[in-house]
Amino acid sequence: MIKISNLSFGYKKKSELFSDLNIELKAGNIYGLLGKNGAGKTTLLKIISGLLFPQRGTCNVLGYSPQKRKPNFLSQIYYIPEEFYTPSLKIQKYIELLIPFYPGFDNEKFDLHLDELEIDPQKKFTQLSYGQKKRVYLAFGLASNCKILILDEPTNGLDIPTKRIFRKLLASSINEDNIIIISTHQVSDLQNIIDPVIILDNGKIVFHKTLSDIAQKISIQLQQTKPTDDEVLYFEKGAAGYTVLTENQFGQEDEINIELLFNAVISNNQKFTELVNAEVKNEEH
Amino acid sequence: MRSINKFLSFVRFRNTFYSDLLSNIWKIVIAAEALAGILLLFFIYVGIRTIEPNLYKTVYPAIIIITGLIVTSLSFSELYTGKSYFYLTLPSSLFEKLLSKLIIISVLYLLGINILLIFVSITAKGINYFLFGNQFSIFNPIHPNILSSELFYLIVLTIFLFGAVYFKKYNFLKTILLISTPILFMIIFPAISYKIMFWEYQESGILKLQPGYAIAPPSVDYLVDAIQQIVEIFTFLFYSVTAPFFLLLTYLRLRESEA
Repeated sequence: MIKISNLSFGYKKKSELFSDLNIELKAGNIYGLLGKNGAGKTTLLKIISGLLFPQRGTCNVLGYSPQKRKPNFLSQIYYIPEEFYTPSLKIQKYIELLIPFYPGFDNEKFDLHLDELEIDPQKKFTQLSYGQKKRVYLAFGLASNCKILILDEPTNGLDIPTKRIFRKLLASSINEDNIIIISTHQVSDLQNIIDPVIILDNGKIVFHKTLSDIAQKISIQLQQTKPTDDEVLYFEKGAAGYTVLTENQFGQEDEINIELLFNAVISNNQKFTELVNAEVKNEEH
Repeated sequence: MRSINKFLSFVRFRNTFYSDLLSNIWKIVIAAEALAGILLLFFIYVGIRTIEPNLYKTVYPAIIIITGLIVTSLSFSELYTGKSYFYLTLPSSLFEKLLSKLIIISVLYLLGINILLIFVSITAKGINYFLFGNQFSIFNPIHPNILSSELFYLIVLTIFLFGAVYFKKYNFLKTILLISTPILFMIIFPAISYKIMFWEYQESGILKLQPGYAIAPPSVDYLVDAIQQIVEIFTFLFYSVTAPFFLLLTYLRLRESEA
């Protein structure tokens, strides 16, 4: 569905953000795109949406080259950036303007989403807060039935009850034909939603796995004393003690805390990386 | 899903046009009100002084052209604001997006400015008559000077449309600079050359290169004829080539726009 091959991109000619980036995303998944600030998450999303052009390599989305921005391609992809545009119009009027552009748009679903997210479509955008405006766009994106939905920091600005509703709507919107890509720093907001997880670091994809793959390989324990064992892959000190990642030797599958996983990947622990890479090799064979 | 024409579909164009128009409707209304206010004050002033100049030679054409070029320069402002992602990912072709803008800044703008000038001049006429007992003519949209200035605007707007897509900020001023720089060079270079090479040989505008030999009338007539021919060629090129050339450049630049 999305295939990026040997992609290179940089905002300045001499410094490349991505160099020979390769990734393939398949339908039926809600991908979580994680990375530190400046890792290139938004840039990657913009390349997939056709807003930025690769300098080398190819990006193929739904069989199209996004940079050509063909109407047929654009009508199948919906991108909600972190900072978005809203006109000085009533929500209902604005949405009526947009609906004809998206052939799969489900009006009934949109009304239901707006209702659940407690938005009055008769209000003007200028009367709404940032979080409320975001709810409108999220409702529209989910009701658009686009094959690719791209959300950049979707939970920023949402209150706690709305985050819960959003998770519910998101989970009900994924099917075998579409992809949702979410770039976020608020991983705890989407803990049980995003899977697989992609981690970008220094312009490279350092991690791209499903959580069940990781759960088969990694075990998580909580202990009170600082771990000194050589078998420890990564640990973090928290209020309740030390959360420790070790190799899963007993076959039980623990729930993976994505924030912990992210920190473990970014820490560049050699053992952890080898374990992940070993898994990749096994898959390849 | 029904097949979608890649280049131009009437339904998609209509939707793009509505989207362009309605999402900017308040800006258009506010700008029109502000312009109407300024013009009304000016027309009342003209009426009070009872020195109604030949508005059709200077004032009306200047209003139509300058206002239009400012509007044109702002027409692609969304490309360089937080709205760029929305505009570039709107599912319509680049041709439809360009055509939509073109219709707004040409047909719709000219229609709007003519209605505005008629409305303001009627109001000014009423105020001038009832308050000061003076006459003020109602704006005539089919006056030859108005029609020729509108034709001129329709050509020049394509240059400013290119500037609107090409420059990120100060599009209007930068486009003026873009146009004026080569013209300045075209004037200054021959002037300096003349000053350096021929100034000492001229007397009262007549070149005397050797004693007893002067480039003077009737030779100057040939020069004038040549200049007239050059001007005609440039005029022909201006009216026939400028618009398609800059529209093509605008389209190509729009295709390369990133957010």
